Amino acid sequence: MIEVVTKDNAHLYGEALEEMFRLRHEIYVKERNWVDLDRPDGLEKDQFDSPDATYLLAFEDNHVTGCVRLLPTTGPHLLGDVFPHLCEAAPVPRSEEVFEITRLCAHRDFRQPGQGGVLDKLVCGLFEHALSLGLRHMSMVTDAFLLAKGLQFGWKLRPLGLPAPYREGTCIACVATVDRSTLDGFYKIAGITGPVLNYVGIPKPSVDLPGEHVQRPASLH
Amino acid sequence: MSIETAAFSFVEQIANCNDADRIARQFRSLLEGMGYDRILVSDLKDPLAQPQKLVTWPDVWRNRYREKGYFYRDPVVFDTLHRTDPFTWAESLDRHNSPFAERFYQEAREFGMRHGFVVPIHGARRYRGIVTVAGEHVALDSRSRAAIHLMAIYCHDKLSRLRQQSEETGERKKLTPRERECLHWAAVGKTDDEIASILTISSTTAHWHIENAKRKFDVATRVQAVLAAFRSGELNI
Repeated sequence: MIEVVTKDNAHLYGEALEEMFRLRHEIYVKERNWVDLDRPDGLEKDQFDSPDATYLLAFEDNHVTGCVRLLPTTGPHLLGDVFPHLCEAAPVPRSEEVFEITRLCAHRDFRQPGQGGVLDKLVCGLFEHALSLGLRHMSMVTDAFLLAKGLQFGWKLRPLGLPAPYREGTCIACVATVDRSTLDGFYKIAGITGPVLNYVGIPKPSVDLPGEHVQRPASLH
Repeated sequence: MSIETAAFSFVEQIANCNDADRIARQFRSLLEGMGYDRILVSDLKDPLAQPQKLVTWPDVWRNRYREKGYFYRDPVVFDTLHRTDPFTWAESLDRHNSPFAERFYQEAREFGMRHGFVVPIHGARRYRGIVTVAGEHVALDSRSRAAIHLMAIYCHDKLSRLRQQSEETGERKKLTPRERECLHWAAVGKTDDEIASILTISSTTAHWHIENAKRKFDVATRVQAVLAAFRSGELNI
């Protein structure tokens, strides 16, 4: 199950959030060697881990095995504040209907298909949450080589600029379209039939989306 | 139009285009404008032996590559499997720096493929693909590098997708009149140059039509394409 954590229920997730910051340190600082993010306390935490952030946490045996961070683009966020120069095809998207995705990652023991499919489930959760918030797009800065992978998985991605070098490789800014058919495709790939998200201590956001009432293909039942 | 603008509009166009030939033509013409007249878009199996998504490699070089089993020693193949960022052949040669790599690149140059730029495609579920563009006289700066990188990712994805769809539906696309004409002359043993002067088109265009026909029949050689055309009734004796 994937659980949604916002400032309104963060008090229920003190330990889990700490575990998430440690997991991020393990992945980004130790595995990927993003030295700028290194901190002596072994927690990977930046200026965007603010009350504005929403986290989706994947749990296995009560431990955090994966996570992703969502930020409103109307406030401070990575693309707008640190990488705006990557947007040359279009301006930095800033809208209530666009959130930014950062730090989508899973523990190395749970990354491969067949190991719980943590990344698959997180992505399903991401789109479920985005649809219930009524978002139209999600923006992101990602490694350019992941673009091919994302497209193959069925993400509808539009580049906001050309790939550009950064210290650890080549990155690119892009926006993903949020729609029901993309989520249905992810369910199919993940081999699951329905919602993966759990809201504890907060209500599930709900907007009256036409897409919400569309009947699912029979194969998913 | 600047190269960045061209890249963005290419990406936008192909999002709504389901015609593989048109996408290939567009990609080819954008790259020709930058000096690249050789293009390979393929999965990373033996890309020159297996049917691929798009290729304008010289046949003589392909045959040699296949006969000599270069695929298994090609430094570009190794780098494509192990690296995620694009690279030039010159960079790859520097890295490998073996007598074989040296000889291999020398041979490629003799076939008119002096400068190459490679975009490795690392897809979902361990899929590996490759986009290579090559030419005699090219100017590659960081901007055109980035633009080709972006176009290559989208072109590879869309051509794969369309190919998979046509495989699933079992449909084979019909030859265009020009492709049929070129194949007709190829069937009676004419070379690209001869076909070109018969039809008053350029030799690369004649070659291109035959390559398209090969792709439509999903075969690797022109002999196979001619046979397939007879078998399917596209050509008659």
